Amino acid sequence: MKLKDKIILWSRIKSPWIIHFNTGACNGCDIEIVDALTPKYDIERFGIVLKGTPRHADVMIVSGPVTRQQAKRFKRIYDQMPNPKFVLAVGTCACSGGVFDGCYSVLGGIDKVVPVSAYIPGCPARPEAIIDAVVKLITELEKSAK
Amino acid sequence: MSELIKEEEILKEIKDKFFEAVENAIIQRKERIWIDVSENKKLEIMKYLKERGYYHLSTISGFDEGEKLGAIYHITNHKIIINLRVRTPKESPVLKSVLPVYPSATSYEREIEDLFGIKIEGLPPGRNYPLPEGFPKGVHPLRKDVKLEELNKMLDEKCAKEE
Repeated sequence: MKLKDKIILWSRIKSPWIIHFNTGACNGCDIEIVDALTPKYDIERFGIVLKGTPRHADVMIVSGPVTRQQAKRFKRIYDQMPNPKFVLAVGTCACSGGVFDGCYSVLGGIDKVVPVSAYIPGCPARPEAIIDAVVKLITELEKSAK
Repeated sequence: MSELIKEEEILKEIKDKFFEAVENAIIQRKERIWIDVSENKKLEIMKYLKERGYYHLSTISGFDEGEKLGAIYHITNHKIIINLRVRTPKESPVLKSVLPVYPSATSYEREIEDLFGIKIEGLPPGRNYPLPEGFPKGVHPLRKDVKLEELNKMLDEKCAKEE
């Protein structure tokens, strides 16, 4: 591995930037994501920063089932992220559609639209679970580099 | 019933003024009034209520009774809620827009149009509001005769075709 690639990988592992996207959630999981970011759980101390634009983000944290209205827009946002990109599905709805599965306005879980790296079940998912998923994602990334 | 003085007062006023257009007026409980009104007097009654301080159209809900479709206008002065129920035949469901009286009703009326298929006369043209763009025309998911499985199948097939 070249030195340049090593530096890029190091920065990617030490400071993954995330973007939060709501594809039609009830806001329960969104509150837990904010909870994980703010001082009580404080995942920012690991170098994880919430960004406002998909063009700067490495990891997309998605909450909620994909509605038919949102599917096209969601795909477009995902396509704007630079490679390599990862997607975390937060909450039961994002994993499988949850209680909204089978509704005429809902497509299902987010894996019907984009590939998913990690699923975090729970209604809503606890901040500890979100942190656990982030840590697992980073360790897998580290392993794959070796 | 001494505690319903205000409710009876306003109901009596409406009944006296629009006696031919009002039916089945009920005071359900404190601060809740239900009235069936006829379609052509609807706007006049609303105009009158607005002058009387009922300035807020809280929402419009639709319903499907089998042979008739309809809408309930929930109008409030932030104390008493007056629910005006209007019916229209299912074969050619048409309601007049209430935009001249309550300009904030655009989104509610669009919802009624999309989900129940009641044509709203006088609503400016626009895209589907709660339903996604490209939703099959003539399908109104909140009507009772819509079968969810068939609708989902149709939507999935359409989705697959687009990809």
